[in-house]
Amino acid sequence: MSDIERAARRVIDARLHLLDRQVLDVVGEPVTAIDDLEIVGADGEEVVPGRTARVAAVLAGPAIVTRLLGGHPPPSRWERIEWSHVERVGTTVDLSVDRDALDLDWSERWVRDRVIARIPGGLHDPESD
Amino acid sequence: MKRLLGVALGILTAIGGFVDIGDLVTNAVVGSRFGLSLVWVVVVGVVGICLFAEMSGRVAAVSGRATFEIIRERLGPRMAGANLVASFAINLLTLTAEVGGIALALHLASSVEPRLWIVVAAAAVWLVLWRVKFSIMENVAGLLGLLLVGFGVALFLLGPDWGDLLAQAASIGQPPGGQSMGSYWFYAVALFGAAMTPYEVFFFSSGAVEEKWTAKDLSQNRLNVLTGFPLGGLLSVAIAACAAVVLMPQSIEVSSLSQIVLPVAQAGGTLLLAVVILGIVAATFGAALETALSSGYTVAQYLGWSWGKFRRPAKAARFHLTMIVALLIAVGILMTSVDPIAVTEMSVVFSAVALPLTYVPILVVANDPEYMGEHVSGKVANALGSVYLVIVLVAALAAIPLMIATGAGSA
Amino acid sequence: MRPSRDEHPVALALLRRGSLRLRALVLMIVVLATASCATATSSSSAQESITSGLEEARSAVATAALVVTLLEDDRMTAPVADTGLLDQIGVLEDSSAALMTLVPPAEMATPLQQGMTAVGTATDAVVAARLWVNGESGASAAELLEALEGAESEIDDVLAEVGA
Repeated sequence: MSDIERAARRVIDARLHLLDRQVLDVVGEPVTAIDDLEIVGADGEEVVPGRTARVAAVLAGPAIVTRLLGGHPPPSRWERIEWSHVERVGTTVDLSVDRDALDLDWSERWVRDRVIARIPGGLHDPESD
Repeated sequence: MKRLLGVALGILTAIGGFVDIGDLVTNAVVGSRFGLSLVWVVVVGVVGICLFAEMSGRVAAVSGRATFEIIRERLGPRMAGANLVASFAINLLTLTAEVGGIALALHLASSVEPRLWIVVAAAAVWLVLWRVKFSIMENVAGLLGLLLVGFGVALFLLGPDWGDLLAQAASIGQPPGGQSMGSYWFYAVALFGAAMTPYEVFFFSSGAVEEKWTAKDLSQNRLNVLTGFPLGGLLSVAIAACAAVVLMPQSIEVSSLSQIVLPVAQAGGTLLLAVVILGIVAATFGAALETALSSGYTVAQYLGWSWGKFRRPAKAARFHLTMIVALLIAVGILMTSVDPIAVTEMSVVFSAVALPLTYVPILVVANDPEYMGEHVSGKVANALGSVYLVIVLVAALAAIPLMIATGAGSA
Repeated sequence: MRPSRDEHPVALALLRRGSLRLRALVLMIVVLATASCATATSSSSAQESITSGLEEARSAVATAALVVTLLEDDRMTAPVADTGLLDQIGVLEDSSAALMTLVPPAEMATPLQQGMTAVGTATDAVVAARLWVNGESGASAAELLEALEGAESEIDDVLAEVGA
């Protein structure tokens, strides 16, 4: 194995390097913390012990509750970020898409549209003056 | 020249930002009851907060990660969640005390009902959080907080017997007559908690991210902390000394803000009194801003929300909502006509209890090359860090038993 | 099936024994807690309560005297003085409540009575001072200070008698 291959095959400990890390979007805006991971078999089917499996998506939102209390959230409640959007794994997990393009940010958008944007000055840039 | 000015400004704001309602009340109470025999705790606390703030500032500047993101990464969601609940609750208690402190100081200056001032103070805090630029907010509050130097001026004008004060300061572990040993150690823990309140760390690390610090700013960070905080600590000592010189001989027990400023009036008259009251308003206002921000920082960082005062409120909506809710809860607590001084005394004791929750993760990450690269803690920082780990743990474990045994220092 | 059925009684017995001990413990804690809160206080704890109540009142009177002196010397503004005295009236209220709710043993009844009278005198003096601060009193600062001093020495006398 050459050095390049070895570097490319960096071992990532899911618990240490993925779970609970901060996710940033393409311009570096925070999106969520990684609350859980969705693992599927190589062909996208269910995970079969003994065969390769891969991370299909980063889960957020309600997944934190089941991380805390145990159990599984129903797939209908999953808030997912496709693993294909993940560009880099470092001290943060960086995405190749904009935060507004993701479905999972609904609570932020709800608070923004229903509460914060309605208070005068909510759109004001504090660094501008 | 401009650079020098920036350095001076950083140091001055660190001095002015050091004292908050917790330091003010605890130091005055301790000064009136124990003289200067607990000054050594202020020294221990100041060294501790220097160490702690330098570490968290360095971690934030180098890795771009603020304290609670790190706490969750290191402790996992459950432990970090429990930590969040405890830290948030204590931070809320401190926020309540600071808003109450603003109201008390304004009441002192105007004799208008404090409940009215509570609402005004909270609204003003929110407005600043909502609109004002981060650096302006920090500098103005810090510079006006410098007016608390009035306590130092008052001490000199009082012309105390310096030899006697030094003798008091040297009598470590010997409370003056009539005071019990239990109360002495209870107030030692409270004073330590007042100097090393956890919110300062949330604020310091998140503030470094707000101001977009990088590894280049490390020397400035170190200078601000290592000169600003010790000078701020001197202000704390001056507050205690004023109480020790004027109030202790008349066996006046401090239970209100109006008593804390009596030595200043005696020494400097109405002018100095006005200066100090303005300083108290600024110091508590600045601390209220910092604690309100910290309530948003902790929750947003744990859950991975976008946060920061440098963003438009609409770009960090849940962060701003959290701060609004925290302020409303603080106002609600104060409206039950609870004594803000009592809330303050509670908050410093529980700060001591909660200290290990933030101290330990920062200590660990400051040594992690993955985050810190070449900027991992040096030998001196680690040696001191380990010593303080023990001190912080002992204070945290002793706080509640001491509080129960002494009836919160009344025995 | 059988083993689990066999285990049940044992587990229950363990639980019962455990709960018995637990109950005893809870009972003990409750008894101790109530005992320490019982109204009829022992002589030494009554002495402690009276002393701490009186010391609070003494501190309030001393503060008030300092406030009056400072205002008379123009070293303080009226709003600060007013707030300062208001705070001390609150302290006196607390100390008087602490004394009034005490149920002392017979030998402490007289000093307690004297203590309450002394706190009453002190409250009168501080209230008078606050009237003066607000310009609602014809008394002079010297008279007020004399009244406050009198209240202070009255408290001191009771403190001496209680044996602080």
